[in-house]
Amino acid sequence: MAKPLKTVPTFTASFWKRIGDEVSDRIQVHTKKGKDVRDANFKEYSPQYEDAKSSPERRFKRQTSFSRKPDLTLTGDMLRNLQTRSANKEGVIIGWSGTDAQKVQWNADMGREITTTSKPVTTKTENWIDKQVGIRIDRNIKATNETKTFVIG
Amino acid sequence: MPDIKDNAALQFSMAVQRVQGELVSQILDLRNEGLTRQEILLVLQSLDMEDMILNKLNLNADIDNLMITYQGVLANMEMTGAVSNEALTALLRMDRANFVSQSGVMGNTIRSEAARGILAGASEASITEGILSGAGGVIRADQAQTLANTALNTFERNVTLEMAEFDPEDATYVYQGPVDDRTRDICLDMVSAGALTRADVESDFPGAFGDGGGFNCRHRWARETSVSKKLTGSKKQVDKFIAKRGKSYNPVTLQDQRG
Repeated sequence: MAKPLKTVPTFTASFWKRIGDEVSDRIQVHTKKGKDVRDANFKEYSPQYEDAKSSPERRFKRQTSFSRKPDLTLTGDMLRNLQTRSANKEGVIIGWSGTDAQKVQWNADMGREITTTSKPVTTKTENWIDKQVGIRIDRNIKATNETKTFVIG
Repeated sequence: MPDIKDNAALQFSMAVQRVQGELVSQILDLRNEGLTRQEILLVLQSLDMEDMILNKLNLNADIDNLMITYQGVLANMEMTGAVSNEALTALLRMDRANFVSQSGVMGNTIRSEAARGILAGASEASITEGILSGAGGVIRADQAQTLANTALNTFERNVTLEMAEFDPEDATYVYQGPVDDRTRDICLDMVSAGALTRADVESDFPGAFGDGGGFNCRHRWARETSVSKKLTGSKKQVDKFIAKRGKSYNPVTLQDQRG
């Protein structure tokens, strides 16, 4: 049976959870490339930190990245902590918790912004979200399809 | 940058160390009071070690402090989403019960070790040193710290894991995290397993969906996305890495570790 038109803009928590997971991963990949939310390269590390991080002797506990290019990754904990935190039929919240959230803020304070209030995700990711929402709306419209008779005059 | 979890774990390990020291000293005092070995054994046997540690030596207060940090972990999470207060309280209570029961085990182990030392006529110093350095399986301060730290991390993971309830049953997950010389064999195994449903993960790697590879693990099971491959190693990469490192490969699941 066809669904009423009012269901067209209806989403589910499951839909938004999938969007949240996808966006979280996309932010991780983008950040590891050394790009900020505006697609600009991250500000360089200080020479001391750059030397310590790239040292082959592994200067930091649990270190996984030795890149001199700022990829905001040392152990990988911070980026991996970016996850879907809440989802309902209205939308999704992704973010960091605890110490990792503090690290993100500290990076932002140092001029390396993974996300901002005015621009939460990159333009490319924004477009991807728009597309997914469009696909879902189209699917909902199809579910309302049935022959409708309008009497004019 | 101070980490509330690290600080709490450190405080807890110091409390465990204090309690162990006081307990050993009280047991050894029995000998100084002139009791015979047999009398000492009788006294030791009649002690309720859990009560002694939790109430008389007041480890209860330190566990309470640790639980306050649990609430801090929650406060630091942006959202707890679908997790109800009841679920959170249940998680918190289960972890508290774990710490309480481990305190009892610790007390009993210390009692046995002290009794053995007294029977063997060992000196006070050697009994104390033996116990505090972990003889007979008594938990050391550094182990207590890892225990508290891991418990806090797991608590945080459990809360996040509740979100997976939104995923459909056929959703697939990949094991995200580094492949390097510090990666456990079981983690390498999970990385190379590719995309699995939650049911497959639970069946092939019991306990790993929530706990990863165990203490201090740098990996987690994450929903498979269009860019997962860029964040996860492949079987080919893992095989190449294992061949290159030249060390024997022995993946042990969490369930096997826990025996």
